[in-house]
Amino acid sequence: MENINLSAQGRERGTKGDVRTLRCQGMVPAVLYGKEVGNVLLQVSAKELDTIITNHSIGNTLINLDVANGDEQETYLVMCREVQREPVRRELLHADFFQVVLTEQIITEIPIVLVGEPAGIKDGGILQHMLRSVTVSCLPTQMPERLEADISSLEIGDQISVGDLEAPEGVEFVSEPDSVIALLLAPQMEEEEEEETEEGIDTEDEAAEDQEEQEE
Amino acid sequence: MLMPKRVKYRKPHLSLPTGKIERGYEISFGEYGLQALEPGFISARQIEAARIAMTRYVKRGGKIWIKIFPQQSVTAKAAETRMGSGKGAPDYWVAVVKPGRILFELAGVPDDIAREAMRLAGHKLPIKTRFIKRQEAGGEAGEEG
Repeated sequence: MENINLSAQGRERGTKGDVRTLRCQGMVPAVLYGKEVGNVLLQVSAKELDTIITNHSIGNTLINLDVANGDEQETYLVMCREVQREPVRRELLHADFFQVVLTEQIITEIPIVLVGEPAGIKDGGILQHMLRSVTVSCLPTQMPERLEADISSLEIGDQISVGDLEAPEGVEFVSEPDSVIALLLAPQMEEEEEEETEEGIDTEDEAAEDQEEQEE
Repeated sequence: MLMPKRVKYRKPHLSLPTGKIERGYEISFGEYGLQALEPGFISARQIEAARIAMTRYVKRGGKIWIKIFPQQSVTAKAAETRMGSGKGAPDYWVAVVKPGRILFELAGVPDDIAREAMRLAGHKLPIKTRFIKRQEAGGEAGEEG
């Protein structure tokens, strides 16, 4: 597992305005928590954090976080637990870092990658990717980067579930084994006939409403 | 067309929402999405028109998810009626949308077809929209198209 470095500075608890000023300066307010460290308020560079999030999966990447707090400088091994974004502009608003203890099991999300092209695609089947990550329990050192699901044998109507995946050594699945990862659907027909029937129902409802009004 | 089976109040007060959405801005099911950039009311007819536009363009391929539902009724008084005598009867149903809301999702089609289908769907709606697609590298959804 590749380790990534990120520098952070400590910050004081401030007002909403203080946090907004921070964001205008290209920084993102963040928090670091864990059994040993407690709660530490931080600020990190938005650009650096965005690069890490874009290139790596946030659920299973270990980060060496260098925290400068006044004259003190400490390095923590952390994982990015949650990232909040602005809904329209997609700017980073806040990040949560979780301190990792290498000897303790953690529960985290590992992305699933589909491998191969399903055999049923040639017959017009539509691949539906239902589950994009699986919850696992493992030691931080044994965290897989990704899990591969082979879908090349899928015919129309077939599906692949968590139970079909092979767990790497030291990794235990927390997600239900019958959770569907991907399935191959039969091709959809255009639903022109349905519209007419639905409109029929609507008029019936309107008639019922009118009757209610008259009763009132 | 979409409409609720039962509502608590038949004639609600309606006002355009302020602020941005706090959830429902990530792509949940598909690969591509149509995101609202303005607040507005989207009627059941407009949702249906957008759905038909998308379905016709992608033909038999792909799967479409409609992520909004017209929960609120809009009332109207009958034509040539004098003012007063109470609020009008429910006329049509609308979905109240805030900026950032994913309106439709699409999967199982190539990028260019999805983009064009969403463009056609966007033209049926009364608000500005944009095409977004799921970002795979980081495992996180949401990328401006």
